[in-house]
Amino acid sequence: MKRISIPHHFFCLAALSLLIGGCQPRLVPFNVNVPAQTLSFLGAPPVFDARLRFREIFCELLDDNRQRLDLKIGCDDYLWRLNDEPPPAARSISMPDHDPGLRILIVPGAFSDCFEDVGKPYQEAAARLRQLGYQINNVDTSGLSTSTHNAEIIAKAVAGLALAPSEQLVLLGYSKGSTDILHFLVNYPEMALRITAVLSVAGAINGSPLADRFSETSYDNWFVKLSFGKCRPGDGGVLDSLSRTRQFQWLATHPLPDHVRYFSLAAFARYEDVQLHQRFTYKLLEPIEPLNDGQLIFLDQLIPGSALLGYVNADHWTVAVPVEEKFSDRDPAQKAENRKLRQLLFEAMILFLAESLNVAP
Amino acid sequence: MALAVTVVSIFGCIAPIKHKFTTDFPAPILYAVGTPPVSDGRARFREIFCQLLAEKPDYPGQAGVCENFLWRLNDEPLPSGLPEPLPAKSTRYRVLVVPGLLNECFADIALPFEDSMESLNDRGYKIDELVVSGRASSDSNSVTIAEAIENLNLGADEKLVLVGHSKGAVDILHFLVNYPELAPHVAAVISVAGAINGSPLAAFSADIYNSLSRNFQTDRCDSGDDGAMDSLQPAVRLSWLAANPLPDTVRYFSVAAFTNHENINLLLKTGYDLLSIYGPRNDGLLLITDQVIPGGTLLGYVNADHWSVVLPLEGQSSLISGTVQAPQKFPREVLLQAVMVYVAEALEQNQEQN
Repeated sequence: MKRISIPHHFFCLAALSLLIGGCQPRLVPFNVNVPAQTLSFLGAPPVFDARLRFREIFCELLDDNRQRLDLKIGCDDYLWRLNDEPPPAARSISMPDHDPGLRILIVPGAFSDCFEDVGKPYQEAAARLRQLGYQINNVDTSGLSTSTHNAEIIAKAVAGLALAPSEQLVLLGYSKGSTDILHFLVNYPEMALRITAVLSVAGAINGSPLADRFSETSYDNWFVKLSFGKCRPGDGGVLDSLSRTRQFQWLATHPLPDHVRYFSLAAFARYEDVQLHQRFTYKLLEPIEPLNDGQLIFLDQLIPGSALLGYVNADHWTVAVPVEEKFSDRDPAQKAENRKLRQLLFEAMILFLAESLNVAP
Repeated sequence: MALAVTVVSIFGCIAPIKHKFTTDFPAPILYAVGTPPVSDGRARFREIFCQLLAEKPDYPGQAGVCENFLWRLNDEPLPSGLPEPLPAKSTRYRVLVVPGLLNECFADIALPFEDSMESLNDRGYKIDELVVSGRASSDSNSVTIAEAIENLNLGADEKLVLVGHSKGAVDILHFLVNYPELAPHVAAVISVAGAINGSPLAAFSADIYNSLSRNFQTDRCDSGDDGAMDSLQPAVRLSWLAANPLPDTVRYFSVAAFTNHENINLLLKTGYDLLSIYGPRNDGLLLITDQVIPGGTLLGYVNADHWSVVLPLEGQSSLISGTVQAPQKFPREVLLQAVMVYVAEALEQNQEQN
């Protein structure tokens, strides 16, 4: 397989940064003794807490599969427990049943088409659930394009689906895929009526300060201009749509349709648990907030008005896409465990949705 | 890549993310999940503030002056139309102003709004300082506030309004939660540059503060439980807010402050620069995202640093006044009047609805 020269580019950027910049101290420590929190605009609908139930589902799934998959990790080691998460219920509720009546469209993140095999989230997990009767498809968005551009692609994909009356259409967005979905809902209100729910995983809801930095004139969109893998050129506006300045502004001025139910799953990890290729960007975000996943700050990952499912202890790629399995020199056992956990995480999300969407909000 | 990470790991030093100072941005608020949303009172507050400012001889009502003191972020609603007449002066309000961190220690230099109280008293309000320990925790200061309110002898038709500056706003919130039997005496809380979510600077400087504090002995202020800095930790503040719903019998109002680098007091510039990694919209000690009480009403963003918004430092000795960078004295008197007019109007509307 042809090896992509990411390391070289990252090294160049690191060296450049060290030459240009000064130091910025980290003001707050890495501390999970904090409550769930979200940075939002005035007038945003509040986020509500669904962590307890999601943890129950994920942990039971983990326990049920622990032996089969040879997993040693504790549930609380994979799902962060912040200090405001409600304690476990005295009596556990039984696991929800699968509901293949959910139609799932997965929208990948930025640069997804640049890396054919690793850009698509939850492919192995989706294959397993297809065997249970689910119809799960990927939306082939443009990795280098704006959310406006990708909204059109999503609209076409939604329009092309033949839905049975009993089926409920769920859009699962990963990273910038979540942003693309929100733009689709606003830009195509008639098509949005077909959507029952949106689930964001490590979603770039408020954008990322990294995008603002990398789109500064001094870098001159260096990232986009690099010849990565097999990226289609698209409209080249990917960083604009990930800019925290622009995305936060967009959210404040574009109310999301209220017939759709929104769910958010966030991610962050300790520096030492972040895969090598994301450590540089983790360090860039760390002075602002050490609770980040290497690409996004934890308080930027929640859709306004959504149910918060939880915080996964994983970096931005490990939570959804198998980048480290292709490129990382991390311990093979660790990589295998991450791959299995990703499958269980996906199934837990789908089970959670199956239960939630069959109950009135 | 490994080399890049190694270099970064060894030196721990990367060019920081920089943000442009702009007001072309919507009002951002950091919420603990589960806390109630904030409502927008900026349009009406601007009408009141600007009308009062135009009446002041020191600040003649030429166009643009008001905008100098009250930032307009890009999501501020437009005025509803012609400003309604301002309410007549009220004798129904008792106002207590609670100062912030260390203010007790420097009370002889300045206390919040001390140069503005006379004018408010002239308008029929009864306004006093409620000085709490400058070095104690918010829980400790909540006791002081409770004792003061118990001894207040409020008239049957008098309404109590608590104004908190900086940590004073936090002390007030702790009082409301710790003394639910006294909270019904309070009609409204006004936070001015309140440290509602704490400050990242408190986390950063806690160790330095604590070691200095141990050696700082003065007759002016007792160390109390010495918990002031702990009370300002963002993790402590947000955890407290998430775990302690505020009583809904009280109305909450917030005035936030930020300014640009050149207007920041000399002594606050380091804090401003440190906070600029989050964003340049800070007042030298607090970010604007952290200054709003959940479930309350945001009145506006004043163009002042953390001290100028309430403390009359200009008339002090040159050593103190020399640190004030603002080109124009901030109209604290107008601010205090305007918040009281807004709050009185809101409370009276509340009463009519009930």
